[in-house]
Amino acid sequence: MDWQAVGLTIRLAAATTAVLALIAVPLAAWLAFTRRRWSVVVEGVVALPLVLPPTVLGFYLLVGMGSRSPIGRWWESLTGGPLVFTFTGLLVASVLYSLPFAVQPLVASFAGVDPRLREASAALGRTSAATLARVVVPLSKPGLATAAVLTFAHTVGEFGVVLMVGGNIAGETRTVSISIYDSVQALDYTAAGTTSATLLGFSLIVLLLTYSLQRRGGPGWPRA
Amino acid sequence: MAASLSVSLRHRILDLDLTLDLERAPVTVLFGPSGSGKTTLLRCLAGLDRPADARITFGGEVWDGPGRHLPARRRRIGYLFQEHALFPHLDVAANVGYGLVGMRRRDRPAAIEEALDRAGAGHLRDQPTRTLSGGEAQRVALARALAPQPQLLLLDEPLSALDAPTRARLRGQLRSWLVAAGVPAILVTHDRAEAMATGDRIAVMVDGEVRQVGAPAEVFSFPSDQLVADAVDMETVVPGVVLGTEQGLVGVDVSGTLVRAIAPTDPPDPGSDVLVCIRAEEVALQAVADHPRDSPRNHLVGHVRSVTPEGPLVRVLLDVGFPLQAFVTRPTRDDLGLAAGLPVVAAVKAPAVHLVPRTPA
Repeated sequence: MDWQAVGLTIRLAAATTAVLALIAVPLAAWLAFTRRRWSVVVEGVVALPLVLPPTVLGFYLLVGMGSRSPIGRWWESLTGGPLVFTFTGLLVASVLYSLPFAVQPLVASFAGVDPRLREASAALGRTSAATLARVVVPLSKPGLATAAVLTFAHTVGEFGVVLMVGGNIAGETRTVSISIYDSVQALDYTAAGTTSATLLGFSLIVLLLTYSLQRRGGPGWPRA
Repeated sequence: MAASLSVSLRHRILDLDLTLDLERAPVTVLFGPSGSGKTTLLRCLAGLDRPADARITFGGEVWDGPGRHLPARRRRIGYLFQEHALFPHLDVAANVGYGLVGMRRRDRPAAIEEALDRAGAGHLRDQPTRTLSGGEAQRVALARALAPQPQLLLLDEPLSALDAPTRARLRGQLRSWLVAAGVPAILVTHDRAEAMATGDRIAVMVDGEVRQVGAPAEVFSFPSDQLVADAVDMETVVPGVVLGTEQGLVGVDVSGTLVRAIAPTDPPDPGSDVLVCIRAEEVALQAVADHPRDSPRNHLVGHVRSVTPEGPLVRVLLDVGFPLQAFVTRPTRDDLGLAAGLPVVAAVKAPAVHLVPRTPA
């Protein structure tokens, strides 16, 4: 077992879930409640990682965050180091890659909150942000749990994007799935088998957890 | 505060102009059949709907106008939803305190207490919302709407979600709560009893228009046109032709029967087409043998077509040359032995006969 990879993977998944909680909640609220027609475009872009091969997404992220891109250069001028092939770069990629898994259950969940409760909140003098925090989010707990579990699990399982953007640097970007690939390449089937079995067990537990949450009334398996 | 509401609105089915002096008549009822646009109008007033073509001013404040839409949260209104819309994840006190934006935290409990007491719901303070009965939820919703001291209260069929006995009980209390709150209110309903028990003034809506505004008794007994007569469920509406006016009474020929009404200040010309409207509760039934012939009453001789018990009263359909409906009490039905085919005399005072202009078909 590559415990270093396990630790890194959990750290990455936790950080991705935390960052997405900040981004996905307002984004999902906007998508669920806006009347603007072009929100369809945003919805489509958010859903892209569901259908795009991870290598394609990874390629664009590699180019977009590389030392020659404006973002890459800005980052280097800010921190002195590159963005690609680092944990931070991997985190940015993970956040984008897992965005639909966080946003879609939240949109479904938010849209399921009785619109009159939001109107009652507005009539009582509260802003949309306050309504989101005080009414919509508290009434969407199953959706929030689904989103968190899916994001975490999806990040744990990602491979293509990690390989493209992160590479294979022990303790920095080598996640569990890269470690398995590495072991197989080195013909170390015992190590690959142990790690794979662990990941299989983990995924199964996560799915059981998610489905039991959904059965308790939480909507939100991603709509591809 | 000079509270007057001025509305000029074209939105979905709505096409109306309305000005209400909320000082002289604090409780206004929007009355009309379902689909007439009452709730849509209320939502526009609240700022929950954003009409494209509207001018709404309250007091000196423009709520909607060209390029302007004041959002609901800044209108300082209280809104009561049909199904109460209490926040299910908050207890009663938190619901009532929800709108106390900007009030100091330590002042809130007292404000919550006061609002609950005024709505007769002080004992419910610490209950979770889910355990409330319909009537209790209604009181809490009222307390929640009133707690932030709104300048206008909007109520959308506030009693319709309640069971019949609770509705009957709250119907009597609602008006006293609204008056005690000292906040002008606009209430939407299609229930005549609720409208009469609650409103200082009724605005009758039909097909997105306000057709008549007036005191409850006036609107329900003296509709201004046929659409309003239908909307207020006038029991007898029959076409007639004006014969002439003498001694302050207009004579109308209704299918060969003479009906007399009090002449309006501007009496209709002989030969003009009218609709004769008579409320069923204004019709008294007498046995044929003992009817006197005093003048301001119409004595319409005919027979009973059907007798139908309806709640506390009995609805009697008569044929007096034209179909006429009457409400009588059960003792009256038994005394007269009312049954289909029985000859009777229907007495209707001339002031209870209301004439509405009719455009011939």
